[in-house]
Formats: sequence, structure tokens, C-alpha cells
Amino acid sequence: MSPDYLHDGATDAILDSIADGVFTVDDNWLIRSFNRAAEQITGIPRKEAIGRRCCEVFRASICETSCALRHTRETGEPIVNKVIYIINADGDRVPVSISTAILKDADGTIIGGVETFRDLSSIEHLRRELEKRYTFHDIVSKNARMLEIFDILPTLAESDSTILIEGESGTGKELIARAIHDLSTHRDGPVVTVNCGALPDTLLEAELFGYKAGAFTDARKDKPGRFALADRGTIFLDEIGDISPALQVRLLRVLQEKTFEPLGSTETLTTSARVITATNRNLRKLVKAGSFREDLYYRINVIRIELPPLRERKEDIPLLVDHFLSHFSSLKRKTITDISPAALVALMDHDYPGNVRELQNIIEHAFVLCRASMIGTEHLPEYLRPADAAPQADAPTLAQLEAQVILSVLRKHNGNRTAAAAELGMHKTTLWRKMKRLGIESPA
Amino acid sequence: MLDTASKLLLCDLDSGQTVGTQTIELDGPDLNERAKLICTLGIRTLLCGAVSRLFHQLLEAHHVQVIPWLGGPVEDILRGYTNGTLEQERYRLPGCGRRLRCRQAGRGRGADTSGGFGQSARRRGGQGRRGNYRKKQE
Repeated sequence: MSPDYLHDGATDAILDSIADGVFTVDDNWLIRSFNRAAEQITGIPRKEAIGRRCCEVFRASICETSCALRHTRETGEPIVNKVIYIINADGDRVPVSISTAILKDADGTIIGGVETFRDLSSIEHLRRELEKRYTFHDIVSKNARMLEIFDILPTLAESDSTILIEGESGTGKELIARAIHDLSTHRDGPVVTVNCGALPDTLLEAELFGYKAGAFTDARKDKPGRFALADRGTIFLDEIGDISPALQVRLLRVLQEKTFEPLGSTETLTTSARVITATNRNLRKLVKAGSFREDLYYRINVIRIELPPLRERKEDIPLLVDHFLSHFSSLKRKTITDISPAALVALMDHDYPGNVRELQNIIEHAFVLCRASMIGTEHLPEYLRPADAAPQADAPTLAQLEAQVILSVLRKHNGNRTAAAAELGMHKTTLWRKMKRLGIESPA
Repeated sequence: MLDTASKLLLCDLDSGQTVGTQTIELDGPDLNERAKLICTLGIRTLLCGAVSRLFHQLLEAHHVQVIPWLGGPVEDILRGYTNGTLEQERYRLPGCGRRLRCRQAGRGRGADTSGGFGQSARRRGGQGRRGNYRKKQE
């Protein structure tokens, strides 16, 4: 292919018909052709690009340190579909995949290079759209049980019934409560959260219902309670299983009659707050044990939502990792966009007693340590890092362990195979086969 | 591209003359760390080629004036800076007309090169590579 042919009208027409951006450079890295797609992706008009150095036009993340065209020029190896980003005329980072090749004249002399690049923004956009399908009011999941909850939540939110959210610590109970509030007719009111397990009984009572000045020693002036503050909004009572029997009685009355009296007051106040409760304990068991009132249990359990722990929805881990990477990237203004396959495997192997909150903390931990663009196993907390492979050489194999167990049981029964087989839970012919395979002599 | 530039050239300017230069290595992709380093070096004005909007905003948040989208040899850019002629088309990277509109619409400090320079008693400036320039104003 000659440079003359490249620069004639026919070549331009062909290049302009391609959806990928294409530019060619001469021996001095000056741009000689720049197709229509290249104009669209970079935002730079062809007439401004032609004759400029390619790095001034293309402005890719690799221009300075690892130019793909230079690599191809020096090694003869083409680059295919390498993903990088460029900065377009508006200052936006545009993800592109690039491919390179060298250009030679009829004599085989290198006269420049060609680079094609594909805009990945739309793919990125589609990926985000897909993520949106799995995102519901800041809750990320593609787990079937969670998607069922997403589906039913708008309907549940419309009713004014009390909702009980059950789930282990860190499963996102408060996020669900906020989603219900946002979807409900109370959305214009406040959301007031009270962690019932964090306060002693007397303080919790004052916190929930408020008090009048002089109600107790330090009550110098009136203080409205959380029920009053949540009026026309939503009150979220977390850790409801931790409240005392005395307070359970008072709470039951609020739920039944929508009225309460602040401490030290004779005036009865009414509340229109929507009540959402949550617990990480098994309330039914507490009712059976007599530590939670049955009538209150049924009053708060009008609608029940059970959130699965993260170990039962591990398919969400990659989604959640992406979500937290994006969250911390904008929060901490770091450009960590990916996680290595090994690190993801380590995350998938973990059981998460702390659920999604634990995963969030792990990613935050990795963000602090990671100075590259990808999180690796070395950035994970120590308890998640895979053990080194080296010590495995000294570890006994499964066959060795099996032989040890069989031999010790045989010794225990003085070589009696029938007794040994019975203790091992296998037929004596199976034991005999195993002994033969493992080379075990029957001890005398 | 400033976001990934590996070097930063600090220039001391006195009455429009370069009186000292120093090259600083930049490492890692963390834009916040880069912005902090630039701020720590006392750089008040930074001349560069391409820069992402995110990094530009970050530098402005660290009170660094950014004059971006400049192209050409270092000496020419420094001359343009001291002469107050950086707005001339010959210093602009391709596609700058579109950016200027964006600049006027949203930026401000980083794009305004009309005042300030040429009057300070002493300035410092810098270069990452051909086309990336940083200046520190004291």
C-alpha cells in the first residue's frame, strides 16, 4: 500500500465508512489521515488533526510511557484490542480499545503506522444500564430472593402497615427501610433511625418519647422524642429485639393507638409516623423464650422482609465489588477501576460473617493500600489472602491421611478387619480394597 | 496527558527569565495523590497539555491554577506565558475551539491567563515532556 494510495479520495471514503476511528502517522509521528469516526470519538476536526503529532491529538493514557504505535514500529508486533482511555476535546475520559499496524511502501520500507480505535463508551453505558437493573435505591443485587424483595417493595411501601425487616448484621436492613420510606407516601417527611440496642432502657425511653423539663434530674428543658420528630415521616427502630419488656409495653401502645406521652407529661401526643422495625435476632424464638411480647411481635410483624446473608447470595459479590470500587473512586478521588481475578476469587471464597458491610470495609481497606489501578490479593486484609503455595509440599496427601486413619483403626482392633470396617462405616470388602490400594499391611 | 505524565518540570522565573529548573518524578495513577504532591510543591500555576476534567477540578480544589491544552516546545510555551500570549492559536492543542467554549461555560480560574503573570517578581515553571508544562508561582 503506497502513501499516495492512502491519501487519495477513495481511501478517505473507505476510512470514513468505518465505524472505528482510524488515523495514520508518518515517519515523524505526524498525523496524515484521520477518519470521520476518529473526529467523532476525539471531538477533534480532521483539519486540525492533520499534520499534528499523534500524541497531541490522540492524548491517550499510554502516549508517554508505552506508545502502542511505537511498540509496533520497534518490534513489528501489532497490538490488538488493548483497552486504554483518551481525553477528548471536552476533557472527558473516553475508554477505547486500540489496534495498531505498521505501514510499508511497495519496497517494504516502513513509512509510518496505522492505529484504529473503538469507542467503548456505549459498552460501558450498557454495562451501567445492566447494573441499574440490579440496583434498587442504592441496594445492589441480582440474587433471586433480593430481586423478589425489589419487586414487592413498592407495593409494601404504599401500605401504612408496620414492617419487620429481619437479617443478619450488615445485610442492608437500614437501606431497605430507607427505600420503603422513599417509595411511601411519607417520603416528604423525615426518616428517623433509632438503634434500640445501643441505648440503656431509661435513655431509650426518653429518646423515643421525649421528656418535659423536670421529668428527671438533668431534664432542664423539654425535649421532643424520636416519635415526635418522625411525625409525617418514618421511624426506623433497629435492633428491636433488644428492648426491655417494660418498653415493649409502651411501644405496643404507640403502635396500636398511635399515641404516647413524653416522660413527665400528662399530655397525650399523637404520631403519624410510619414504623419500620428491624432485628438480627430470631424474634419468634425470643417470643417462645418469653423475652419478647407475643402481642408486640404480631403487631410489628404485619409485613415481614427477610434479607439473605451475603454467603447465600455470593453471585452479588462481583456486582458489589464494582459498586464499592465506583463509590470509593469518587469518594476518595482515586482511579482504581478493577480487581484482579485472584483477589476476586479470595473474596468469593470468604463467608462474610459481617455480610455486605464487611465486604465494603474490605474494599475500603484495599483502597487505602492500593496505589495501582487494580486491587490485588496483596491489598486485601491478611485473613483473606490465599496461603502461600510452598508449604503445601510438606502437607500430607488425602491418600496418606486415609492410610493413617485406616492403620490406626486396624491397630486399635488388633488387625481385625471386620471390627475396623464397622468402626470406619464401610463394608469389610471396601476396607480390603482400600488397604490393597494404599499398600497397608494388616498389623498383627 | 497530565493525568498520566511521569515528570514535572519546575521553573523559577524572574522578570520573565528562567533562573532555575528542577524535574520532579510523578508516580502512580492516583489523581488525588498527584494533586496533593503538586500542591505540596507550592505550585500555583500549572501549564499543561491535555488534562481530564476530573483532574482539572481536583487541582483547582487544591488551589492550583491550571492553564491546559497547550502544545509546542517548552521554551515557546514559557515565552508565551511570560509574554501573556498563551491564548494565541499556535499554542493550542487541536480541538481547542470546542474546549474554549466549555472552559468559558464552566471553568474560570484555570483558563484565565489574562491577569497575574508577567507581574510577579519571581515565578517557577515546569515541563513533564514535550507539551506538558507546569509552573509554580511564588
